[in-house]
Amino acid sequence: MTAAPSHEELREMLPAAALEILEAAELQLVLAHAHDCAECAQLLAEYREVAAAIALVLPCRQSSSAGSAPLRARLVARARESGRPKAVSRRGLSLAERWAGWAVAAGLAGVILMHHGVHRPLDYGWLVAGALLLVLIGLGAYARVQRGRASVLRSRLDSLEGRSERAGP
Amino acid sequence: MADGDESALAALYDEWGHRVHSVAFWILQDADEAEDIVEETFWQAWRMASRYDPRRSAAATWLVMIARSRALDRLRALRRRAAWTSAPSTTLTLLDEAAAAGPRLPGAQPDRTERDSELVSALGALPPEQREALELAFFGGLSHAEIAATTAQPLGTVKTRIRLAMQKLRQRLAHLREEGP
Repeated sequence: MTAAPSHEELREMLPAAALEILEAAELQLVLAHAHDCAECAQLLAEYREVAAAIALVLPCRQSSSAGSAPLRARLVARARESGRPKAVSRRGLSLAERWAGWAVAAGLAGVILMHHGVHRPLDYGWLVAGALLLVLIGLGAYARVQRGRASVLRSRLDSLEGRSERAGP
Repeated sequence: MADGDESALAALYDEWGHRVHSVAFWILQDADEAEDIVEETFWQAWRMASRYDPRRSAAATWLVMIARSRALDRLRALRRRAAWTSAPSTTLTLLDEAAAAGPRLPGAQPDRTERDSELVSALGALPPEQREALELAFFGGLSHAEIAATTAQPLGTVKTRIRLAMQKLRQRLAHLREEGP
């Protein structure tokens, strides 16, 4: 079993993540880490700026199709037909993700505590407290992992939505 | 655009359409495929407009990154990677051309000129082996392992070259940001 990459190792993977050349599993690790690490999130954004800046200094290809009026008209017509773009509350989604795991953990702990209070008010008090703590830590860690996965899935969703809309009618 | 104003989409296209086309063209090496990518990119931008956060990135950054991602997807689907993996000796030309022509590109925005010049200068200052690795990654979307196989270099060397190249470019742009307007 290999150990999880350290902060330094993940930091070194940020340039490749910005270039989108990492394997899927590596990319997931980096994005999940960047989701929780402000320093790496900032660095990733800066590396993405670098990648975009490279794209913006490329020699222009002024072919007949670039900037074509038919393509422009087609885009505008599609936009008019489709109506308003989708509105997605990413902030709300993010808050829900952030607290959902802890809310579940707190609720479960409350249920166990009430159950214990009814049936065994005094026995094994420390044991139960320890078990509850472990449950809380476990669920918190699980929620953290899920938040990272949600971040990765959201990135993929953006990509897939782009493709599926193109394939649509 | 997030409010459903299609004239904003048209304005975005007028400003950045040729840039998006260039990115797609240099990756796919095909004008018609590139035009498809232009349409995909602006359509995705329209549909995802509510998710765009100008505090996180400029509109141009957002657009060209969508375009590059779509173009690399198309490249992989078309299995044209062989063209990149079999011809590493030609891969220095694009960034060299960018280094030579960048500041004078048509459509360059006045407020981007200094940044473009700085980046072009930084690209030109990269050692050839770092630029080659960066170009294979950027235009071919090749993984570290694929670049190592293509250039017959150890995997660790390839990772280091790409990381160093990107770090140098980032530092140059960060330096420009710190100086401010």
